[in-house]
Amino acid sequence: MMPEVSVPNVALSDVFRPSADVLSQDVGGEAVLLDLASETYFGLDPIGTRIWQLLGEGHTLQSIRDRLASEYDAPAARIEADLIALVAQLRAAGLATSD
Amino acid sequence: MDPSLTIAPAQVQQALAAPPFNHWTEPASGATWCSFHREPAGWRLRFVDLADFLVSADGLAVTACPTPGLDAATLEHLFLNQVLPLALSTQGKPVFHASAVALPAGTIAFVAASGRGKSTLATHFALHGAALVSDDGLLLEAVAGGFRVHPSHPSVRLWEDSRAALVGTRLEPGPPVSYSHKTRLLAGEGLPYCRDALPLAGAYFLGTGDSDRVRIEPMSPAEATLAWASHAFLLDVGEKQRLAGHFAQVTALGVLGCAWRLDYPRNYARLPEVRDALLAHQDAVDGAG
Repeated sequence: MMPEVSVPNVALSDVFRPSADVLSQDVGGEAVLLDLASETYFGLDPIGTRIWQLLGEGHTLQSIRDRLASEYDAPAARIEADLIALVAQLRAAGLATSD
Repeated sequence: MDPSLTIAPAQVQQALAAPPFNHWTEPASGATWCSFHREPAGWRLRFVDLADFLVSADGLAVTACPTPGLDAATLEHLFLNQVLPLALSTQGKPVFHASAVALPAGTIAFVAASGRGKSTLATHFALHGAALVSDDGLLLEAVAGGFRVHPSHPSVRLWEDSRAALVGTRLEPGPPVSYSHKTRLLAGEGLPYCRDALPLAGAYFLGTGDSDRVRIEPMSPAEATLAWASHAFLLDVGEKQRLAGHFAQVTALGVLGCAWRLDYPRNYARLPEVRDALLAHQDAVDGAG
């Protein structure tokens, strides 16, 4: 679904927001995104969908990491790595931008 | 509503000043066979050396401009199979690359890119009593609680090997068209056709044919949404409002819960097995509902 990218310049203090040109819809617990600029559809798994929701609320990545750690039974380091990787993919695809 | 069709006098295709914003290519050669151009009053679809079609901005009017010597069957075929679905999509109607047949509980659609076998499967069903609804350009309409399928042109196009295996000499082919080697079979006696709009009972997205048995697997709503989106007819998605409307349609289809992946060996002798499996599956779905 998302391009594999390296993760430079993503810090836990950053705030990323969904790009203005992206439509999203929760479809059975998973988000489907449509980037109006590239006319491309994307899908997110349930955890990606939760991250997308929290990005939309304007949280820092650190806050999102902490929220996810309280919601999911997974090591914090794993959650942080997955979070940063997804955010980097969203940014590379033009779906999210940092403040 | 179907767009009106006006046929202009034949004319040689002149070079166009503006480059196309999209084009279709022939899979084998890679050559462009249709290019899409924006014009002040709508769009021009240029089928190279065959015809230009001018589609109005509201999708309600089409003017066909054939090249000199183009036969009427080819012009009609281009309009019905290529231009009409695109014109309907500009009216905001959801149109997809899918064939469909009518079953007692409603219409089932076989959704796939060209060459995956959707026409063959629909024809097999039609030859065994399930009326043909659409060969391609599946037109849907949102209604309370779901979608309704509108029948399209009463014909089906098959490659020669499929035609020979499925119908042999039982059915007369329709007039040939000059740009395709497919045979067109017209619905009628032996190939029943459904003239009514029926509820969409199920959509089966055809796999590659690598499976050694009939496999029917559920799709999540998100998977179904993305699959519908990837098989849509869309003339021009340059307008955000139009694209947003399309997004709403495919997400509504995705949450219906009536989409499955279907794969099976591409072997004509196994088609009865595929049909039996699909009928049993629809019975089970209908019973569960």
